[in-house]
Amino acid sequence: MEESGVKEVRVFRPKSLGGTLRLYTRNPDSLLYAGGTEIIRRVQRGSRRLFAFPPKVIYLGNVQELNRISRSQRYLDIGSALDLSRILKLGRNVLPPVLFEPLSGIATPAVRNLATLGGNICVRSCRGDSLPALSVIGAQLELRTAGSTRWTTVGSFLNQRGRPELRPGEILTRIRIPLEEWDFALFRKVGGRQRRNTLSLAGVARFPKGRLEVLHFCFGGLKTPVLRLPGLESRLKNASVPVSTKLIDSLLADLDAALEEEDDTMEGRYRKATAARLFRWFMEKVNSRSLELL
Amino acid sequence: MPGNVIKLRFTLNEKPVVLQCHPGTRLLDILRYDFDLKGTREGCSQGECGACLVLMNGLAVNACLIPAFALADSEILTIEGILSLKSFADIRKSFADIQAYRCGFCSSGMQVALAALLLTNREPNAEQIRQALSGNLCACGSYNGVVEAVLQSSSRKRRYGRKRSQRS
Repeated sequence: MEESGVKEVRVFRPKSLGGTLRLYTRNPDSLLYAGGTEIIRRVQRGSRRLFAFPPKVIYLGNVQELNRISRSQRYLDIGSALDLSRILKLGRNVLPPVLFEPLSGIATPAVRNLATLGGNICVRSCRGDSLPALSVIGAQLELRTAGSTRWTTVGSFLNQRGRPELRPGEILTRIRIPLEEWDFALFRKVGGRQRRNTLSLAGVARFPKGRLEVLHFCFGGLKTPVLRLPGLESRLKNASVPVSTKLIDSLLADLDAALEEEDDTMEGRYRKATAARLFRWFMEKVNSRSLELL
Repeated sequence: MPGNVIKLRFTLNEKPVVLQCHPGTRLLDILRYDFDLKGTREGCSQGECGACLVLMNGLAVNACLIPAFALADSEILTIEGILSLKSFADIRKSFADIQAYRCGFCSSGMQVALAALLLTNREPNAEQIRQALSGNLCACGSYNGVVEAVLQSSSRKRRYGRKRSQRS
């Protein structure tokens, strides 16, 4: 074992949510640790024998309130420290398909036994995974401090740089997923293992009686980490399905304008072109599904 | 012992153990150096290759990603513990019959992944086996042999079960 430079680490292992929140208020410099799959890579030392944790760690694995699922008629409430495997065990019939897809594609089965949904939402490098899907289905995030509770959406939770907007002493405690029926749901992630070039698109739609009642789509992994375009969505509202090629082309032109902030580098141009291709493919899938339902 | 130490109690291969170590020690090192269980191998150390898989509370996890403080009160089953299980003997025979592995470095991780699958699904199909092995990298490409061995073991069990029911 390497002796030099090893620091003292104090690990708190609270069992209740109230205790965790009080502890975090008293020790705001603590590292919150649940699955740890992302943190571990950052705290690996050269020797690899010991993880270089900060001086204080709060372990969330024993907090019951953060490790459970509850289901009502309208919502699924998922504790933020619950591992992805247990969420996936709910199956495609309970979990919205647009969320099931990205969660089942994250890492390996063994990593999914550790990684948590809360971690996937808060960690900056995972922007192409669950966030676009959570955004399109209107998931709500519960944020709590020792003295307050507030709910927010995925879009408001992250700032422009993709970092969580958390107040001092605040913890993401619960993710509320609406259990709505959609005629069409799709998630697609493209890109290699280099996370900076990973891009994803999640979309849901409902089209009763040959018209698009509602269509939501969201990109993940662009310069704006979770990008919704309500202007484009509203242009599609009440459009007849299958959506005309003319309208799709016009939407693609708008999308191109909306992605102007992407850098004029090779990577930026790649992201822009890929986003356009994903959107065209998404609209083709909407059209083919609408024909099936007619 | 560097830095501070914590006292841990957990179950290792069905035996209760107590250990004092730094809270940031990796489970992988605890197993290999404190308990001399060298069947759990070190590959990528990033949770990608699956060479260090162990069962933690019945679920396959990468031992290189688990710090000591997350171990308290858990049940750890390493490849050594799995191989001593009677229910796994049949699969071991199939691995040997088919000569499923080449160099064998990934074999312990693969068998832990398979044990995790077989705990919940006694007769998995090829697709489920491949899915269970999706976190195990094998540079020699022994995947097809491993899938075949598990399928062979399942069919042997089915035949044996049918014969027994016919006799009774």
